[in-house]
Amino acid sequence: MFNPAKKVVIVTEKILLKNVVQIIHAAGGTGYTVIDAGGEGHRGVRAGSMGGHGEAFANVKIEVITARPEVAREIVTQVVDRYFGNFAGIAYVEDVEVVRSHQF
Amino acid sequence: MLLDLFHTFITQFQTPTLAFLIGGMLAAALGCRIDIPDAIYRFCVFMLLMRIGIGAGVEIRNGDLDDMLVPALFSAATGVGIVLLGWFTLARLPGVRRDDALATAGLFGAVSASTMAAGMFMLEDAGIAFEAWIGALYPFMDIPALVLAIVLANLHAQKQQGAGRAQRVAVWPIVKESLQGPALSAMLLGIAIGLLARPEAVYEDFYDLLFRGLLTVLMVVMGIEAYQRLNELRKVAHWYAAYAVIAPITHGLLGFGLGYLAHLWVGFSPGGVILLAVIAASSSDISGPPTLRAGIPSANPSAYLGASTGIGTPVAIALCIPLFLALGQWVFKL
Repeated sequence: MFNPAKKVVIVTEKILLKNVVQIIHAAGGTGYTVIDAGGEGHRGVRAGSMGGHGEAFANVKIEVITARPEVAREIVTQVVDRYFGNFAGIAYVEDVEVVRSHQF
Repeated sequence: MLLDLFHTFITQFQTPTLAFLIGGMLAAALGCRIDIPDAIYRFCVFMLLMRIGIGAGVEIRNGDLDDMLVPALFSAATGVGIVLLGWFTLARLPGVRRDDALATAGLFGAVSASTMAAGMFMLEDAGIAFEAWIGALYPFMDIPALVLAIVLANLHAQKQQGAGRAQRVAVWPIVKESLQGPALSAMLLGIAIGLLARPEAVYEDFYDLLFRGLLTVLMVVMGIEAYQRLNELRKVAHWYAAYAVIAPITHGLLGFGLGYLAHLWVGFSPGGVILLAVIAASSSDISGPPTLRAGIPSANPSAYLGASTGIGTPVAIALCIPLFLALGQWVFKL
């Protein structure tokens, strides 16, 4: 019932969501989950929503679960290389166990 | 003349638009937790631009499109001129990074819908007529400014990296991004509806009716934002603060001058000249920032947002609108 898989977590600026989704698809990811995010990091406090600019400078947490470790590494590498020089963001990979493994 | 100017000023400070803006700033400074949700802010912007768009569409339907040609050209010239001005002044100052300066100039060249609406409101109150299609000038100034700023910044970045072959910067995605932004698309939809349908009834009973009230809500939000962004400006070079005060006035004068030319040439109305100056003085607050964030990713948002939202917008609304209104009244003997 339980199968090992990798979970990629990317917390970054909402403005990048479209681009990250493209990377996920290109790398072979089959799905993802997006949650609004906020917090504090090396670029200071990044609030969840900031008035009129909320949309532009809001943050999201994107999670991708994949059964193939190379897909997970490819997504993280691409996102970090392309965007984390100029945009706020963190990325990491976790080991998880999934049910219904055909979904991943 | 100075006395007249001063008098106009004092009167303007008592108008609801300004009072709500300053009220918002004071509330934020005092730590009041007035919280107007983002969704409401967006709705207010939508209503405002719908009202402006429908008004413009109806007038274009009933009138001559030719009248718009020269003012539209001059609007584009103003947008381009503002960015070039920023490139040759702000970008050359010590401690100012070129890409930050270009993003700032692009934002100041772009247009604020709320400032434009506040300007229209004040002209209506002062009983000065203007062409209803003025709102349609918005994209003509907004898009060239954003495109030029992003193209210049990318060319500069390529030069610095010493790339042998210069890559062409794709212009169309920037234009598309601007047109699809929440502000411009709402206004274009309004223009289309005004042009093709008969929306007079909803216009009068809904959009026009709520316009003034919603503008005051928007002003409170902008006041709060302005105060919050001021803090961020402290992190960047002081030149941004100086630029943010001087630029709206300079840009407004540029717009006024070109508007005056259009007045002599094609009979652009005095109210139109004043509004062109106000549009030129304004800096984008809704669709400009995300476009620039994506187009010039290396630029520091604290610099351009602090300069425009923190100082530029309050200066444009509180100082430039009364100033150009008074200037217009003086020049045209209104």
